[in-house]
Amino acid sequence: MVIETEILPFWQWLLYGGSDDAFGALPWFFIAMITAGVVALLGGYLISAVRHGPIEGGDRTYRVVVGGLKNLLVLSPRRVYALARLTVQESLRRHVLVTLAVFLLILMFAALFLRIDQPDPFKLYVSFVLTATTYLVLLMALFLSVFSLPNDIKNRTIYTVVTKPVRPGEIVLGRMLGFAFVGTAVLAVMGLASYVFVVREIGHTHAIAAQTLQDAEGGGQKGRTETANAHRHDVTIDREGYGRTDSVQGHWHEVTQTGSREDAQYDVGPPQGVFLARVPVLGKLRFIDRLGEDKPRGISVGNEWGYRSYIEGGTQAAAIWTFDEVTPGRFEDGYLPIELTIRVFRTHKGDQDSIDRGILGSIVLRNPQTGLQSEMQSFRAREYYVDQQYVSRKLLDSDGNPIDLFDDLTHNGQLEVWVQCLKDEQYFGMAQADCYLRPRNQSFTVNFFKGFSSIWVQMLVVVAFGVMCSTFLSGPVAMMFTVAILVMGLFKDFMLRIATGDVYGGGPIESLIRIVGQQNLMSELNTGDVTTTVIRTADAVITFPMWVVASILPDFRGLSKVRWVSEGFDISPSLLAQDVSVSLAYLVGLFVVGYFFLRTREVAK
Amino acid sequence: MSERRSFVRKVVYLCAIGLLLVPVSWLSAPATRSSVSGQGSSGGKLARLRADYKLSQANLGEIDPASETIKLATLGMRGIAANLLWEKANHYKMTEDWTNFSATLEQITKLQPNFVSVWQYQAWNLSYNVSYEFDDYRDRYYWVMRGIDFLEDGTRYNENDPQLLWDMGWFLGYKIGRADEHVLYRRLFKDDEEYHPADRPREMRDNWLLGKQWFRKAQYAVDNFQKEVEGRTDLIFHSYPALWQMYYAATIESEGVFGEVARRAWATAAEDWQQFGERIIPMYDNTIVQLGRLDYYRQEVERNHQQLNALAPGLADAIQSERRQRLTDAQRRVLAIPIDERSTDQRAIVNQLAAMLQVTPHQLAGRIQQLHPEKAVEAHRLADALQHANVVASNIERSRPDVNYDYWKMRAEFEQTDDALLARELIHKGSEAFAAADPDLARELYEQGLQKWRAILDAYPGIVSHGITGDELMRIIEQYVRILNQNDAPIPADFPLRQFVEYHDDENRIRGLLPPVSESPDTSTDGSSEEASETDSRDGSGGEDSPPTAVRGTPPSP
Repeated sequence: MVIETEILPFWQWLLYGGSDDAFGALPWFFIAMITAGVVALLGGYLISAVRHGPIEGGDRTYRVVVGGLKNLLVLSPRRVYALARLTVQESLRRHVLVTLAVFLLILMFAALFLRIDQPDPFKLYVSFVLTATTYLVLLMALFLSVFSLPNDIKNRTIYTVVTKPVRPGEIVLGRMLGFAFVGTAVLAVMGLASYVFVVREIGHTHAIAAQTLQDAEGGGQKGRTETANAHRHDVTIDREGYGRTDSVQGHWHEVTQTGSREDAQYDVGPPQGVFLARVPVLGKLRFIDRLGEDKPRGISVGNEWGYRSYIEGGTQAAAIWTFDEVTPGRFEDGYLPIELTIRVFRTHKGDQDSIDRGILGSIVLRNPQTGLQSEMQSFRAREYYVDQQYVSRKLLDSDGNPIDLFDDLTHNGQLEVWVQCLKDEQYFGMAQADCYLRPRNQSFTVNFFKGFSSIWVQMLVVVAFGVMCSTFLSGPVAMMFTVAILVMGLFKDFMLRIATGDVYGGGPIESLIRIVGQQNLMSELNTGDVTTTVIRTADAVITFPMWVVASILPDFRGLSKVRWVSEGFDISPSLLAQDVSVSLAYLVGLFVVGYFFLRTREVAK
Repeated sequence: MSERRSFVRKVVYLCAIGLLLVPVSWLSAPATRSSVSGQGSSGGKLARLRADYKLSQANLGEIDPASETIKLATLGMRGIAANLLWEKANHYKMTEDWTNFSATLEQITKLQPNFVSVWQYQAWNLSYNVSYEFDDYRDRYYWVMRGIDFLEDGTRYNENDPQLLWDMGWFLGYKIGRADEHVLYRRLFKDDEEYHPADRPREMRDNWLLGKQWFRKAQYAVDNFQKEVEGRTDLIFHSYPALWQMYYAATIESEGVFGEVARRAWATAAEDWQQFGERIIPMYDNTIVQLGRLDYYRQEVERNHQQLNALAPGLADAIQSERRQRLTDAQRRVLAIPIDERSTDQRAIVNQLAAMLQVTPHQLAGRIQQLHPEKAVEAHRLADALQHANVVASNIERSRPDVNYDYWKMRAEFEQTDDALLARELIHKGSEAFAAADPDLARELYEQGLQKWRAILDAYPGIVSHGITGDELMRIIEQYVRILNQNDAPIPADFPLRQFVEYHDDENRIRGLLPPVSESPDTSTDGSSEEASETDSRDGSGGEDSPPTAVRGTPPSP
């Protein structure tokens, strides 16, 4: 499931942060900026003091800072626009549109690399186009941004600009905005092409040959569709001529029969259950163990991935989700749509009589205050399948008395959903995001382009880094530097875990020794007590700057929203706003840094 | 002057280029083939080496444009790319993202299509590990077939690779036919229109029969392309086609197919097993084994032995006497100690002396060469032949248990008999009647079936000394006892398999329920057992009335 961590409302994220955070994003931004500013100021002063003496050095530093801040505050939008336009023209001269040609070429031949007969081809195709676009656009942004300024300086064409009344800040910002515009335009075309590609490839229908249908028990007909997109469906049609197929490759179709049985025509609709953007309302999950005692987590069944925990069947063990704001106003249709995904762990497969059946489970809705429960609904678990339950407003309680969902089972808008496994010696596994309420769906098209906007956000960050690096490094070095930031940004989480000692195998030196000595991750180092202490101390020293760098780096994996779109979940506006804010923060910060670097160079003085 | 020098330099360059073209052409000219005549040159040295060592893609298997493109796109770093993808696949597997896992495997194999282990390992991963992650048997079947499809793709990229071909046979047979869900899997497999070509008849849509075909392809690759079998002995490797035919025959009977169809299936199994017995199979020490020809090689040993001795009658005994005379007193004293009273050291000395006293065929031939030079050639020829026959005969004796040769030979034989076919059918129908809540009919059918089993055991007493049939029969008897319990009836006094139970029921599940011996009119059984013991010679093992130690056999290895 894609939503493995809680998504905070935008303002809470910006100002206060989550329960584990000391501050919100904005205070963090200012702390980082002030710290970086102080460090830069001290560093600048020291260098200046060495070169010009302490008094002269202090004076120069003061003038740079004050002049710089003045310059930054009086940017001319007209000149920034003119420079951005120049940047766009330069990009076109550098054949930026080749990226589009490469992308279209990839789409044309994508069918050679992608097999449609996957269990969920929608997911595969969407993640393919989004991932391919991400890599191409980020590489394009990288190459454009890092070589532009150094080339201008090298070819001295920069003098035609700096001899005009232009401030260094405007040069840096103009570049950033110009490249961002080019990237946006390229991304827009790619987005459109990708959308058409996905819809054309995944959208399909099936034919049904009348002679393949047989009479079903109780009237109606049943049979199979013809093959399309490497699969076919079982189909059931009722007496009135309406029917649907079973679910294959993550979708199903509606079927309509026209004409009498002899000359019947069957119209199979487009695939349902794909091209979705669910808007889930998540609850808080807690567990009750086999003896009825509260537990924060269920049982581990030994999976390497500890995301889900399990409850034992045939006991009091239960997984309980508590949902807030379950009010009639939010669920206007008068029913509560619950979607549930269950994992099953069997301690035995069952005998031949029961091996073909899913494990029986139950769902009960419960008022958290009064303890009033709805009548138990049983279901058979099917893994990797979203079980949709539409709970009607009018229900019966556990004694068979009529009750109202919103009036009787909620308390201050809170509702509990209890899930239990009914079969002895078998287990159900779940995580918080496995059960959610789905009051509505968002448009897939909108969500698809939201996915592209997450690439846009990453592209902005890469452009900002590229331009910033190019203000003080030569083209190739700036490229290497930006590539390093990009790669480290992709592995930011891993770097942080190394820096905080959360991975097995120790820090950089310890893991190097383990690799060379072919020692496994879990055993104690066999280098002797003293040497081990020295190694670990050295690692602790190295990992602090590593932590600082990793904390500052952009989290490219976090910014990517490929899985949200491919798994059919709406990218919430709050999340999108958070990502855009992050990229703007990098843009502002790197613009300031880039300005000061360029200002120190001879050409811009 | 300078123009002239420049001109000369250009001419020199041209000549150098022209000269270099000769070795370059000799080294790397591509092989050509005329589309009209089919004739062409074998190309330069590199092209010939590629052809000789079967290194070009055309020799290895199918050429896939997608695969070639991906290989080129990695700019020579496909090893690194494959490593990263492998890591990614592991991550997807851990996080249960099966679509991306499967797609990543495709990418790895496109990068390294001729890395056979990848196909083997990941096909196993799909069919065994990923399928296990799903609770619904239809999902599990889908992933089992996904692994099989994956492996089949591998056989296209790696033509005539016996490992992949053999694995295909194994996956089809064992994963579908021996899983806990085998009844459901076999049903789904027969109905699997995506897997079977449209023109494959329904009776051929059988996992065992198709598995057997893949084993045959693997054998063909080994026989015709000098490919090595890795990871399993040749003996085991070649036994599987016949074994899969046996499993096919047994499975269709368990599904209620009897009569001529079942008889034909067992007859084919018997032929396949015989064919396997006739196959000359190389052993690890460069000798051979031919499982079905034990009698022939024993006769060869005897015949050559006699002929060699006939060249110099009494010479072997004379040599042995000479050697005895050369023994020291201490050695003689050790030899004189009765076997039971010898210590460990003494037994070791005796073994050493026995080896020393034994006259080998070549020692005998050597002595004949000294005494009768005109007979030397013949003596050495006979000694060689004797030695060879001896080695093969002992290889056969040693190897037969490895594949349970005698059991399967006998099984394929007895299953074709009317008694066996009828016994199976009656028991099957009895089980159906019991499932349909008709214990009376079930009892009647079971009792008729058990009578037939009695007849089978009389005719083939050695069959129960092997675990498979003995255990199977025990399960049948246990089910019979359950049926009797439903009828509130004890085991009748004339229960025909009394002695089988007494010898075979190690866990005492049924033995305690048998009526006392005095009440049992088992004289007829004894009589038949006596007859049975007379037929013991057909398999060399104890019959039903043999002592318990002889009845209990070790489970078969395959």
